[in-house]
Amino acid sequence: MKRLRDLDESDADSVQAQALARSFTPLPEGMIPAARAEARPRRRGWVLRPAFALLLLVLAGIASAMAWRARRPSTPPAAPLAPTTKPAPHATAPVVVPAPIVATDPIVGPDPPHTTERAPRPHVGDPHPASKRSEEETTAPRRADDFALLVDATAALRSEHAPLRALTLARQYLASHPDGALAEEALALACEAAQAAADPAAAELAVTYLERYPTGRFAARVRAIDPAKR
Amino acid sequence: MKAGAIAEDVHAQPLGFPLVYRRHYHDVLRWTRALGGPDMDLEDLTQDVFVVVHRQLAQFDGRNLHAWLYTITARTVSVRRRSAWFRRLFTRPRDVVLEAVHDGARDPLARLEQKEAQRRFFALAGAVHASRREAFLLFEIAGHSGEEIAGMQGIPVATVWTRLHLARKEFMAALAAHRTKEEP
Repeated sequence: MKRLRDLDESDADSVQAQALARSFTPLPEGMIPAARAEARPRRRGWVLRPAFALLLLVLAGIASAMAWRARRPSTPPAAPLAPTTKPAPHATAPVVVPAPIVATDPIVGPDPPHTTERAPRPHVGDPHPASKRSEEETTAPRRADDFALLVDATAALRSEHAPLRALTLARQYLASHPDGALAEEALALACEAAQAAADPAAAELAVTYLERYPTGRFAARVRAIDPAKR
Repeated sequence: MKAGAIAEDVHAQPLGFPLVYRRHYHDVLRWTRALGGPDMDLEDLTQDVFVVVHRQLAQFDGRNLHAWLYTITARTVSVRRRSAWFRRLFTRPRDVVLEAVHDGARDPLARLEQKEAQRRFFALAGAVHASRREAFLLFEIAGHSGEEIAGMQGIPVATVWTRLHLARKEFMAALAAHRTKEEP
């Protein structure tokens, strides 16, 4: 079998194949270069270029992330869980602020079970019509956070001067957490709100408070509401 | 260098790397040109082959040095060809260095034409089936005989001739198709 370069056919394809094959001239057998014992260090370009491209991508990503964060509207800080509302300076009424939970305070601790049973619910004898109450309830903020519920009640009583709303919120807390950690504060707040709203339930609420917390922190103020207990 | 002579050398004296390198550098250079194509840096590729030879010479069983060297060469060229497209993604295409072209052409234009002809040859050889391409390139470019190719590839001589015959047909068919395409 002849090689392509040695073909003696005269058709066009053979001539062209012959020409292509003859382009590979024999290699000169001259000097043999010195052997490398190790692979020659490659040009670093093919390593550095993708590394440089990767670096650019990372920098672009960081810059776009920073730009996105700067453009995003800043979210307001979350409302504090513990009530920190200070009494308004103009308030002349007895100050009842939901106190923060203090573990060492013996009054705030869980009540004995027997006191829970005889404690009447404060919404007995509510003179307000159902329609009005429901309206107040719908306007009340539906927050899952019960502490925030009392903060709202305090704010409604002190700042907004809306004792009915404060009473509703305090009752809402007492209905869902009759033995809650802030039950004493909620009951005192309900007493004060009922008194401010000229609600006849104020006396009943005061009695309830004094029965449950005879030596409570707000007992003196509650006694001021209920003349019979003075 | 005949395979028989190599075997005698191997048994006559301990096989050292300098000896292998000195005696087979040009063989490996021919193989890398035949298998690698005109765009490969042949000397660099040949050195890579001998780096592998240097590393693995201790494990060589001493039977067929020619076939062993050829196997390493074919594998190294294959790896280099496969990675070439990836490297081209990140590096600039290398200009043709006229001084590096191994040929007897006199002027730059003739060198360029020769390089172009070699590229066309390899492009047409790409149409040959992979199982036959190596034998075809070793026969046509490296100038090996059918018996030598059979010894290097470890296959019967008749198989080599069959492959060469089929490869020649495929190559000529690709050439005819290319010519038809060029001539409207």
